[in-house]
Amino acid sequence: MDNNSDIVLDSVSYSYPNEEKNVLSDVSFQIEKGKFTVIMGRTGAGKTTTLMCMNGIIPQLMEGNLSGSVSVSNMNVAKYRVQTMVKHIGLVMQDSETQVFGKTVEEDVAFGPRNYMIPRDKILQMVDDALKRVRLSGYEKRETSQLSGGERQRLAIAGILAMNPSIIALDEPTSELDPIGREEIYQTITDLRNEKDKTIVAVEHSSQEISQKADHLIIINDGHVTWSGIPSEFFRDLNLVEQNSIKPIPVSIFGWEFYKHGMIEKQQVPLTVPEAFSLAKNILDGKKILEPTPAEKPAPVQAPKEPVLVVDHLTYRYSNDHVALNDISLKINRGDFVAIIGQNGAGKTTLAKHFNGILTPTSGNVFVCGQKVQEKNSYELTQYIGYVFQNPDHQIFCTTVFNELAYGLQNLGLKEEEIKKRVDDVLELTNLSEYRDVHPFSLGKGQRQMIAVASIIVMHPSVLVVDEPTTGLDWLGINRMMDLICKLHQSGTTIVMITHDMDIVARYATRAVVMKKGNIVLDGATREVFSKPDVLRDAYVSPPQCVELSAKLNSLGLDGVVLDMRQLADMVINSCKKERKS
Amino acid sequence: MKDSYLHRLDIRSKMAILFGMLFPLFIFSDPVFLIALIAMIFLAILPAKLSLTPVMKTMKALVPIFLIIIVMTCFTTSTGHFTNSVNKAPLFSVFGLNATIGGLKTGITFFIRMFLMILLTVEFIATTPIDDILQLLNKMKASYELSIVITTAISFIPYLTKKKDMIFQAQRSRGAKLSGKGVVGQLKAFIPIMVPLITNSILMANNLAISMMNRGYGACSNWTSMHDINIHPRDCFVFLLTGVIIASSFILRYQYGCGIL
Repeated sequence: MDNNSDIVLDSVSYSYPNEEKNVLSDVSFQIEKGKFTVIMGRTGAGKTTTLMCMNGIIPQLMEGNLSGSVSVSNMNVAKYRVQTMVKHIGLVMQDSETQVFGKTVEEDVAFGPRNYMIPRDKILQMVDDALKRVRLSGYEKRETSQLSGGERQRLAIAGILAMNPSIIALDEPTSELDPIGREEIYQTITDLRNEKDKTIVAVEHSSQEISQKADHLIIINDGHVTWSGIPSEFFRDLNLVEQNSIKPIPVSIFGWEFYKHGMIEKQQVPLTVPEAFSLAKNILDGKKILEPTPAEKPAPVQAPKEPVLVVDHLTYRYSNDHVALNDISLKINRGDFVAIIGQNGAGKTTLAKHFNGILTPTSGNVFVCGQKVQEKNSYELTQYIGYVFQNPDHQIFCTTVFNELAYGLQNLGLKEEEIKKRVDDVLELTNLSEYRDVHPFSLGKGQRQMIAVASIIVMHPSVLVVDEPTTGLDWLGINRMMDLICKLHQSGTTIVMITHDMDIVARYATRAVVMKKGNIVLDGATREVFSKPDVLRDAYVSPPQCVELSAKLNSLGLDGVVLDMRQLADMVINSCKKERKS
Repeated sequence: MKDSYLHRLDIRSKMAILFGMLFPLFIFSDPVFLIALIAMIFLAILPAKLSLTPVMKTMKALVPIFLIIIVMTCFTTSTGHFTNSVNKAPLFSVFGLNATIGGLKTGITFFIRMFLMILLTVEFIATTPIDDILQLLNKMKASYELSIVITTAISFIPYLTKKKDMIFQAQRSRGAKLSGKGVVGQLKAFIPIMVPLITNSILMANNLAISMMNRGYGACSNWTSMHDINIHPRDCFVFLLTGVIIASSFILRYQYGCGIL
């Protein structure tokens, strides 16, 4: 065996008990000591399963058929208890809620070492050290239920660090976090990398941050390793990225256009904004971008601007007198596609929860399609406004997908034929027809999220509110979800979307509302909003790469902001050609 | 948690004094004696400035039961075992049923006993950190899994409450009617809340099991205790006081026959 390898998987196959299909089939790879390795792939591809094979959770806690061999720190995992393995390889799971089980921060971190009967003084030292490493010193006595998402995830990492393993494995540590929380985790990972001889393995969805940080990338799809190598090589090849259903880095789309036109080599495809800018500068070679900036996306229904959702001087105060929303007024017109953006705690979700009466304003009014929301029951409003929550598992309770969708309609007292027709139409629209009689919990996360949306749109609401519809989904799931939302928008539904994903805002929304500390600080066409970097920075919103690149290209003659990377590339290419002709 | 001389007492001496208070409460049946006991207890705990609101809340909910008990004992207590003839005297009569003075006093005694039990246990819990209770279990050689179960259960209450609220809101926005007519209707209306709550709890339990394994749970047959309970001089004083209370009430009651009806 190669002595430099910390983790060696040799033709590992695994299937869950009572299931024939292999989750992993013939997976082999080696992970080098002291390196940062990232495993990517679609949801359900077997990434988490791979991690759980490394410390013996599979097959010791979760039974099933495992074949092949796993070796970690030169130990054959099959021959040791999980409790022995976790001293060498620490695994941080995705769900931070169930990983933190102490009442206070200190108590939680101590949990691991306590299991090994380490003397108390030494444990306190270990706790201190672990908290320092995730920058949570001073939090010792805090109650864990009061921590933010990022803090809780860092605490989960500290709990593992306290056991001092030489390998740290992280399962999607950032997928449920907001941008600030993600930044905290990336900082922690960077800190850990600077420690000597720490091997880090992470399963991740987001590609932008990974491409710059990881030493090694492994792609797993359908239980097979489909690619393995240096991350930048992978992300520069857009064909490869697409084949593996991984989210491309936005500026690489810009560069790929030039590669397609034979203007650059594959190695020159940029992965960062500065790289993309210098590429454009080289290509233009002193010329200016003369192309006019294309017009905004038009609203799909060219109806008169009729307001469907009116918020009138809305103030909301929590019971502890904290002002969550401060005198907000907002008018949303029929056919709008509005994105509400801002930091966690800015009041986005609190505002949206007033739209269908889940929260009652402290003062002010909300009207939907002319109906005063406070005076109606929630179920009476479902025909006017639908609200899709982030976690589908909070609402799924029926035994078949069909019943799940029919439930709301039955409460409205519709006739059976009408219900059947509507449900079947929506199943068709959401590509769920083949699962009509299947138990919803047997489906994947992406499909369950689809069911949650379907159960709302089956009510035919005029306004659809979606709260972080893409969080936790893989690239394919994100695209499916956004395609559906677009289809609804085109057929005339007004969309209000809360999201942290600025690439999605840039690509789909026609209007953006920026919130900060319970106030609306910016409201306008998406492009206008994105051309005010100062206000955005102040609201802790970091603009997408297309906006950053546009801003830089303004010095080369670009007028305003272009939100589509391909369009932006075309403009540069056309400018070159024009110059040549003249 | 606040701090007072009651908080600082060792859990064992607190248990002792709790028993020391319960002993006279049950051997004396004359309300006058018990009122004296109440006065003593209040004298002991009031300077600690404990909040009485939780006690009062529990008491309020029990008012109808107290009333029923007092009325019932008024009429139904048999006068045979009263040693003092005053107690056998009728108070008034309704529909030919006699209420006796002794019956009324017995009712009041029951009421005081319940009140004091509630007061003492609520304040006991309020002044005792959970760690102390766990440590006591440990000292009693209970298995450490038990204390893990208790702490985990307690720390998951806020999460489950949050989950419940989120489920409630999600179901309301998809048009669930969360109130129904009649008992069956009410139960039916709660299915959309209960099913996701249960499925979510099962998922959580499963993830929790994995996370606990990841932290080496079960590596040894015990675990390091992070907290000590210590006997101080003040605790010895409390033990002594408990002994005096128990002995003196025993003598009063059985030597001199005081405090009975």
